[in-house]
Amino acid sequence: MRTSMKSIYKLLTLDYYVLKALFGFVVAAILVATVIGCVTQPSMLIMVILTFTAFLLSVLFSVAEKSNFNKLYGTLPIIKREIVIGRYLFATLTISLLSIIAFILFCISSIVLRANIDWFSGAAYWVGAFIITTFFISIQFPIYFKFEYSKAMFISILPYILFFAVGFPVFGQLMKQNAFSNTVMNVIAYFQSHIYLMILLGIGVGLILLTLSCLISLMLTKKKHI
Amino acid sequence: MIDSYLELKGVSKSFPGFKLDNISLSLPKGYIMGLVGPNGAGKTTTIQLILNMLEKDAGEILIFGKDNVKNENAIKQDIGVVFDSVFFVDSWTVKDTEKAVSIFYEDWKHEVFNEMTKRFELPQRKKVKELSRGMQMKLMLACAFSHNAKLLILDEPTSGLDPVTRDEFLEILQEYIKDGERSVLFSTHITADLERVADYITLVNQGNLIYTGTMEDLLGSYCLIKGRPRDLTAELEKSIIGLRKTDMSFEGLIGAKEAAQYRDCTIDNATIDDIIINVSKRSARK
Amino acid sequence: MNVVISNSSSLPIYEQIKEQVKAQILSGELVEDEMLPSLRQLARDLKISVLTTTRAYNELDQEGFITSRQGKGFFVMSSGSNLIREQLIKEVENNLNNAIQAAQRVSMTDDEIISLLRLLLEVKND
Repeated sequence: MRTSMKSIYKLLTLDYYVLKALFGFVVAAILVATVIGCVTQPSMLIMVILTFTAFLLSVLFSVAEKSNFNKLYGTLPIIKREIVIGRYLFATLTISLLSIIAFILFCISSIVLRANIDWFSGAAYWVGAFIITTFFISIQFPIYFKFEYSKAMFISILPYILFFAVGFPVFGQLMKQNAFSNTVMNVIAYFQSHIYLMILLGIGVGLILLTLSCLISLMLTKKKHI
Repeated sequence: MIDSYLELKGVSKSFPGFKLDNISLSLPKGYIMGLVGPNGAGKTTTIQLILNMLEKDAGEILIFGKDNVKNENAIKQDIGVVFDSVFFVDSWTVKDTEKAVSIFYEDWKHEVFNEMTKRFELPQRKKVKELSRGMQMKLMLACAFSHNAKLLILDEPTSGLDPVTRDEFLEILQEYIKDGERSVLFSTHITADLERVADYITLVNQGNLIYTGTMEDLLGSYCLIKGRPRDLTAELEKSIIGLRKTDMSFEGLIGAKEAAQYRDCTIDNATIDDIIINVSKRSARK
Repeated sequence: MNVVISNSSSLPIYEQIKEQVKAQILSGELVEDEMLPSLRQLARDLKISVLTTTRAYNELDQEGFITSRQGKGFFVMSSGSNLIREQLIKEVENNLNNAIQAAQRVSMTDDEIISLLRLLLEVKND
């Protein structure tokens, strides 16, 4: 069975039509992010928008399931592989688009509030947010593809828990150790003079996570049972 | 020239606690086939297997003469499906629905969609969630008609609908097959809808195939037999399917050929419901 | 062509169609060479299955009342009304034979049978 690019393009359009209804919601989230960014620091804006994107993409699964899309997919001339790959591609495109919007807003609010742009802060926050977002998606998507959204919802909170309840405190503890905190400082200093490398690395890590996750999803959805 | 639009040969699928066992059927071009059975009989499973929403354990499914898995994309260009629940986003309008669905089909006819939505009285700007169940079903039907589907597959499309809408629906189906180039597979547990209109019928119960063939042959193969207790000989009792005994009488289903010899009893035509009920009773006892 | 189906009749639907077509041929409502509605059109009008109309038409064709012309449809045969007349006369003969047999079982004489027949005809004609 050949996977068709044409079909994938059609599925991207379909996903877009599904989220179109939530357009107002997206705009509101961007506004909230901007407010947060103005209150704390502009680069925080980027973090908020990107993590919101992860949430938005899981809502896509939720709406699709509520709308009985499993039956729609059964009707349409498409195959499961195309649906999976299409969803990841849609995620990538959405993250890209919202990243651009976030970065533009970052520049604007930086200029308005501080009269200058802290490029390193913006880039660092973007890389961090990008990796976090792709990390969340990479864990959630295979779960959503394998199980129904309503059942999977609880498991999908896992990455959030891992990150905030486990990751942060652990990182905080590690930072108290001099050896660790010194290494971290050195890394940050290194990247400050090699911003492009940091960005490339960030994109690389994110894409690898997404690709691995996509392969796992494809494997999980190979056999069709209910 | 393909005469059979839909063919199942020995199709089986196991689940924990249920098995769809060795189902075969053949639907020729230009006719309506009813897929009938009580709830849980395996009708929806059969349709999901046909649409490759589920993977079969055994057997072969041919649509327009081609394997349903290997040619899934091409085949589905010519299939229209209506399920008992709507499969669109409920905040979509009728117009949005067309936009979303039409991109997938090479042969989408916008004029046909417009004509259908006008005929079914579906306002372009109305949202899916604002449509009644009957109108939602008509929306799915409008989409199915608009890409020139040759095979229409309907999974309990009329359940929960009032008799007027159901009657309208049957008329639409008969119009659909008028040119003899399209077929319909119609799964339902409302047998009254099918009894006059269906040309072929497949009966399933508890995952087993009870009958497949023409409606006429089915209705001609069975009779309802009723009589007084004293007429119930041991031999007759063995032949009766789904026997019901009271102090005053007995009643059950019997093969038409065997019925001829029991002249003292009352013989009546059996309806599809009679056949299903009595066959189910027999299986329940097993 | 006017056909009306009754669901509660003990006659199968295809038989009802056959009967009504034959009756209309006999009465002259359906004339020689007249084209009948197509199989599918009739099925749609009566809201019945296409196989049912197919059976009715095929049997009428076999029995010689109508004929199918390739690509055109079904047409009334010229010999139609004669055939029906013949069939009905046969039916009268059978019924009379049955009546005679029944009469003989109760030992009625030929004269008694004929008087009874005359009486019945008088009542009928009034």
